[in-house]
Amino acid sequence: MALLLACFFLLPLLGMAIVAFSVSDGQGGKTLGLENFASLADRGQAIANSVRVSLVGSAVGAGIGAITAFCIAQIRHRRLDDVVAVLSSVLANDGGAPLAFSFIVTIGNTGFLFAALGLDSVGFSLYSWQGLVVMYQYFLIPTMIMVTLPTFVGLRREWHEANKSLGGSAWTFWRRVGIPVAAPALLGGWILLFGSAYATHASAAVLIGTGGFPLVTLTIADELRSGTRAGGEEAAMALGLTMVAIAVVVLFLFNRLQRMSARWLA
Amino acid sequence: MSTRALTATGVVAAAAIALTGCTTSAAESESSALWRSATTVSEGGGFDQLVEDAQAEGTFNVMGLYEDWANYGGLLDAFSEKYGITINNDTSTGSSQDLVNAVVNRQGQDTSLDYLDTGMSYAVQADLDGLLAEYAPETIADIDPSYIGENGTWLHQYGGTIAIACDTGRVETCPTSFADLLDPQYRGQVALPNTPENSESAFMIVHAAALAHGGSLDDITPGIEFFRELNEVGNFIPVQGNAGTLETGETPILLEWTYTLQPVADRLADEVGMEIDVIIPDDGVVSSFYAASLNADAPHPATARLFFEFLFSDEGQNLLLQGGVSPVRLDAMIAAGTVDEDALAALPSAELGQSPTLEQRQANQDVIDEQWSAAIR
Repeated sequence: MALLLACFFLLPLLGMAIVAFSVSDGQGGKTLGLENFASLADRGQAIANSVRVSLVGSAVGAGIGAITAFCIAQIRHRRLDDVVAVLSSVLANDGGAPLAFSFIVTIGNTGFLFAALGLDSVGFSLYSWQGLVVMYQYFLIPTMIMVTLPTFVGLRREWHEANKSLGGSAWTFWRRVGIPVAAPALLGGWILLFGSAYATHASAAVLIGTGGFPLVTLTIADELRSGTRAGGEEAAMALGLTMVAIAVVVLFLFNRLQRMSARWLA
Repeated sequence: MSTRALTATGVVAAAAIALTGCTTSAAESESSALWRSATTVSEGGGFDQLVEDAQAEGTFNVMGLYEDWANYGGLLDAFSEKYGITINNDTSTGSSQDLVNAVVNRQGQDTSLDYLDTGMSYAVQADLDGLLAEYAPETIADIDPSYIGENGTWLHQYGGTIAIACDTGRVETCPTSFADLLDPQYRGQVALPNTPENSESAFMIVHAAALAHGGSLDDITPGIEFFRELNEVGNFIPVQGNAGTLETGETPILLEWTYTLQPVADRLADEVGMEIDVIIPDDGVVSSFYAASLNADAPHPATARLFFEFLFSDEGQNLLLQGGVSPVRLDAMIAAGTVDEDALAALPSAELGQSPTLEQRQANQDVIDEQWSAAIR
């Protein structure tokens, strides 16, 4: 296990770090330095775009996903629960080129729903940051449902009844019991969605391949490809390391929050 | 995982590495090695010897030579048939940089590339990095020295002009200039084939836009400004345009080379009855030549050189001409009467526009790298 972790996680990470921290010393050699990270300022547009898309995308996804999960938990129908579980675990892992393609043929420039839904008249374009936000919902919402459904199902009916018999209103229930119990799961879900949207590459690359809207992942790919530009690889690795940092923070927070919410639902 | 399983994995991995090492050295025969250093056909022992050694190698590795690009399909078929050589043409990707990367990443491997077709600046850089082999085909006397790389490691093989493809089924009035493209009627319709940061054709499109927008080959910034405006008015669509997106209507207006657009237009007219106009913009005409080069580390050095001879022969150059490009020996072939007259008559524009020099390209590439992504956000 430790060996696997070393081979497939630590070694590549170390390799990335070495490239990211090596700077040309002007005499054909390399020294360690932080210049590649300073050059990230030039890619500020990509970072800003990625943060914007991920923030908006994950907020929308978390909101819709949580409400959907809550409704499903309220209905409490066995068959529905099974269908939702299967569907959301499949959809949550759906992405990449096929996802982009399915959006292109439905609400793309010539998509069959594009004119039918009047998207052309409201000025919506799939090939924009709003388009990315819409497209990402396809896997963000199911992820949110998957993460929060157990929590909503776990809000026991007895707690409702206890609240009621003690004279509490529905509002009291949510303020004192429901939200405190569900909050870690909701927040954790949102953070997970943020990381997931931030790291998405293939579907964005297929949709907006010409750099019309630079994202961190697209910029890394571009930097790695355009070797004529000096320092492309180093800059890509530096960008990559910032993504690793974000992923680690996301996973750490998500795990902590999951554990907090699991305490109530065990 | 148990220790034993881990050891087994390690052994398999080590064996795999050892095996790859073996195949590489085994493929290199003596005669192949001789051709690797030959800079002309006579140095290697004459044309018949070249054919014999190439046939012994039997395979030709290339990348990104799309069938309807400058008639590479016809050219490779003819080459394969004439000499009985199998072609491995990887068309899953093919920007100039992808080719150079493949050569760098596959050093010493059988799967490396033999021949490269790249933008000029990529060939120059690859030459500086020592990746290319020096070789002069027999017909080199017909080629203007300005079309030959400084160290003889690359030659221009064909050129063309930047044009606008316009799907007349989706666009009411086709644009005839860069200025026209800013018209609100083209909202969400104008696409590029790639980003100018790593693609020769997109790079030349920005040059042409610069000429149309008050710039010059020395000043590409107005070209970037043009695309900023195009994006701001909502006409630019950041989809990677190609024959497929043209056919589905996703990118009704696509900028590209005349010679990549014309075959697509012809094919779509034949197959699905689409009418695509290929228009050379009247306010910015830029032409450029691609560069042919051989990998110094080619897995099939004799075949690579035989292909060079074929490419620059009358037969090869006429096959390129049939793909709607201006082959580099066109003038000499017209003078000698060996040119394919029908193909010459069908050429979208025999007259070529301005072309940036190497110094201009390098300066402009820096400007693009600095400004492009911020300009079109």
